[in-house]
Amino acid sequence: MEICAQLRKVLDGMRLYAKGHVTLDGFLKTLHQTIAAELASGEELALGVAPLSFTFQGKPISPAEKAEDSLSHLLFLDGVHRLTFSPGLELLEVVRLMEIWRAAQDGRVGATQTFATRLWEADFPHLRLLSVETFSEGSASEESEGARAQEDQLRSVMSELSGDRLAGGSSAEAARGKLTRVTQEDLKLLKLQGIAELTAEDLRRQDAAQRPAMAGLSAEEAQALVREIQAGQARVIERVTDAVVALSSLASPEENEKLQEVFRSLLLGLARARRYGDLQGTLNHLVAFARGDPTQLETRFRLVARLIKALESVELLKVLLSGLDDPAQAEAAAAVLRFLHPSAVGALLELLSLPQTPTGRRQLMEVVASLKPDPALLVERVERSAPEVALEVLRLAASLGEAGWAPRRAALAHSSLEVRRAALAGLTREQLLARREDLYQSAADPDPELRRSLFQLFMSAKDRRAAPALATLLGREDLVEGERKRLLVALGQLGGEEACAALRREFSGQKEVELKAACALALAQAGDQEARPLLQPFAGKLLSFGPLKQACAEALKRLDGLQAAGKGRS
Amino acid sequence: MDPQGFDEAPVSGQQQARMLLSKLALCLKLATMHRLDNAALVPPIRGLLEAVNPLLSAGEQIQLQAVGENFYLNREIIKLDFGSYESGLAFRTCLKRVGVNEVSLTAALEESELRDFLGKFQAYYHGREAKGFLKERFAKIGLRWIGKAEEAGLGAEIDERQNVVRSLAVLALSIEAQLGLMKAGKPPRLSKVRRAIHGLADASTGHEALLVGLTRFEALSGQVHFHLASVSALSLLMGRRLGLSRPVLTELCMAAALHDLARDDLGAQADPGAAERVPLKTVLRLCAGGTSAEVLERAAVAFEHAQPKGPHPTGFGQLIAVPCAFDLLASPPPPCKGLLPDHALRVVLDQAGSRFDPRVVRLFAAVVGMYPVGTTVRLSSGEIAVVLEAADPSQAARPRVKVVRTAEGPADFLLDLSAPGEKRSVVSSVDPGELEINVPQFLLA
Repeated sequence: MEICAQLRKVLDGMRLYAKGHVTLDGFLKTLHQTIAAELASGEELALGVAPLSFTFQGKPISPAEKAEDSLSHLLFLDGVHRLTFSPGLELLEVVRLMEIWRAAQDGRVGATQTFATRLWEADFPHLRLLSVETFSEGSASEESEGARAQEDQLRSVMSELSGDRLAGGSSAEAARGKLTRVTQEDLKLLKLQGIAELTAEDLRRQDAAQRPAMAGLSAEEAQALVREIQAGQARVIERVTDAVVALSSLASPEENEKLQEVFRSLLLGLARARRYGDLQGTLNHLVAFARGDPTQLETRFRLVARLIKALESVELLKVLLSGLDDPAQAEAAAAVLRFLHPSAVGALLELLSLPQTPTGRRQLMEVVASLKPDPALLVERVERSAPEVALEVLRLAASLGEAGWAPRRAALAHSSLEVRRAALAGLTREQLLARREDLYQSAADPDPELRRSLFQLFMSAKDRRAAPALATLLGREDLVEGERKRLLVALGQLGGEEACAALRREFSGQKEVELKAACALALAQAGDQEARPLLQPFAGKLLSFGPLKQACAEALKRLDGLQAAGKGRS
Repeated sequence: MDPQGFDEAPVSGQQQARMLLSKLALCLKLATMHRLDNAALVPPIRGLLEAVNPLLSAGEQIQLQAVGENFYLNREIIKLDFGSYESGLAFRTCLKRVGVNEVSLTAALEESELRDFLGKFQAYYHGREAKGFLKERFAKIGLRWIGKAEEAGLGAEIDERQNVVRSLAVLALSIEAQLGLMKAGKPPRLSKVRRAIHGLADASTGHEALLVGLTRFEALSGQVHFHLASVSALSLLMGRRLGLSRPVLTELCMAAALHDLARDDLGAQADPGAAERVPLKTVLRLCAGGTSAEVLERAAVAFEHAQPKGPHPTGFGQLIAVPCAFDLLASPPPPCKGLLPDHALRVVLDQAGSRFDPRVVRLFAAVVGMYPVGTTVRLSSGEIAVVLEAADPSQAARPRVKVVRTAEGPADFLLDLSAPGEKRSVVSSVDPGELEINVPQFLLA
């Protein structure tokens, strides 16, 4: 039958084309026209549903060989017996039917729905289903023992309902009798069961003979009620939050943990759906509740804090942080994160690498900054972060003032040059000088630019304590042009035991005449009398190179001068 | 047609019905295709005789009917499965051609008698005067064409009412099954409850009063799954009265079906404060498997229905609170005794405005009636009657009733107390148990 071919065409087309695509719309129109043609006589069109095919007047239509290829199999599994189209079927109905059908094939009908229930709820004016009601729970066929047992149970209940077992008009349950008025004893029992809390006034009213006159609901009242119901459904998150809050006071510690898990699950669902506005609204609602009664502030805040702790779940944080990368959602996601307690900053720092974009990372660091993190946590983080994360941490550290120095210092040992340079960015000369003890090690940094900036710093301070670091640097092979000579001069200016030892070593090992000469002069500058034995041979040698001989001679001369003046190191 | 299963002994009524239908349909179908001396007919003929003769010999009658879209055995609808559906279609097609829609077997058959029947059927089926088959007379086989009037009666009077009973029973048992799963920590199959709600919605159309009455029957009073099914059914009627769309109506009924599921934890001797925790336990049980939008709505309802009406707009929770309170007052779990239905309604009415939304209370009262359907009442004339339909709210004491007892003794006639000129009215409700009145049977008769 043509209809089946058209059905298949539409279902396949829905996989290939988006809703509204002209090709798909064409398929749907054709299907509608095909069915309408069958209905043109004014008679209904009934298709039977068999496992491998639809049937028409008892005859199978293009039966499939396998269930998965069968159009009707899904309906068959759902207990649908027959699909009946009536004259007047509209295109919109066909479109909606096929959307539900496609969703059912893809398993997208919803956790508590089936194909048949979705069709029922769609309430098609010109399409109806006839379903086989299978009460059997999970049984493969109605011949199974479980199915038979359940069928017997059903018949038993029906029999009870129908009064079949009421011998002489009374059942065992009915033998309890009915109350014509509630006594004080019954009041207690009703209250214990949570059924009613009645008063003496309520008892008195039962004796009143008059029935109250009462009007039914007007159409306007009914409409208003329906609108309120719909509005209530839209507020479901707020209502569940109220429920969780109210029930927390009754719950045992174990039950409270479960309630928190419910709340966490609610927040996670919202975060996954990117409903940050609702998330924020929920948290604001909680805070408003906490502030609602000044006489219960502490109790309420404690309760709310316990609930908001759900935000600290790693799973939820990951989802929220991924939202920071979406420019349209970043602000909202960040606003939610700001509800975190400061104790959560460690968890946030563990996830610093999650945002993939600079904007996302920037947003996250702003959130972290708002939580006033312990600098020790930042130190730990910067030491083991990827460069882009470490840079953000340093940006945060910069905002912390003095407290931000520790992470900067830690960043000086980072493997990334950009991070190491950023560690000192934004600091004034005075600030650096004040912190120069922490910078000595960096004087031997692999980066020449960094070395030069620190070198200038140390020289301007004439800090002899920089000498060991400079001496270490002297031992490197990869110094840039002129740097070695500058180092020699610097060591000479700084002086001191370590500088002199380094210079002597350098003089002894240096092959280049110019540098050796510079070394000699540096030794003299440093006033190193112990260098004489090293210098004298070169000063007195006939075959020494001119500049070196001159330099050594000059150095010796200076040393003599210093000795005479009572200065210099010996 | 499914030839399998012929040799299986039937163990349930429905299974037997399907089997009889299939066997007879097979014989008729083959008779339209083959000569009667064809060997292909031997097994089905013998199979049919083996199936029907023990029943007929035991004095039972077998009437198979194809009326409207349904099939019946002895005027009881046959639930077809996938194999027997094709048999049913074949049965209907064969008989329709010869102008018949009911075949009755009245006594045990010999093979020759059955072959004679099939032979005549075959002749008329292929002949020009097909409809003449209806005039044939057989000693042990009756043929009939059930006309429209009787067809309407067959569907409306017996089966649709039983369908309402069945649908409510299916709902209650579906809920019970899911409660069992949830208690065992397993995921429930709530699509079954949803299907049952749809079935009840379809079955109760035009039988709203009967459904109200069914929820008042004593037999299953106090069992939590029946309480949940009753509240779901009453909510269905309220929602329908409000004109809720099918999806919203279904969600209302689903929420009602699960609103109080932890109530059976209370036990007969509840500790003080235990009842307060029922909403908490219900919410936790509902949310144990996750928090989809549907679950959240039901959790909110489970909490809200137990709270007094607050400043927020009325939602599902406040809607369900009224039938829940009514059902618990009228049919509480043991050892509590229930109030008579109209007294229970009065307690609810008294709390309109304080605990319940007054509009919801009025809506509920309009649905069930000031003397709720199924209430046993004493009339001003001294007669005892059962309320069949909710009266107009403005004429609370004048519903439509069935008089079941007069001064002369048992009775069975209908009385519309709101009819012009009718002077009798309800003066009070009475306990049917004390008077030994079987209310369900009067409502379903």
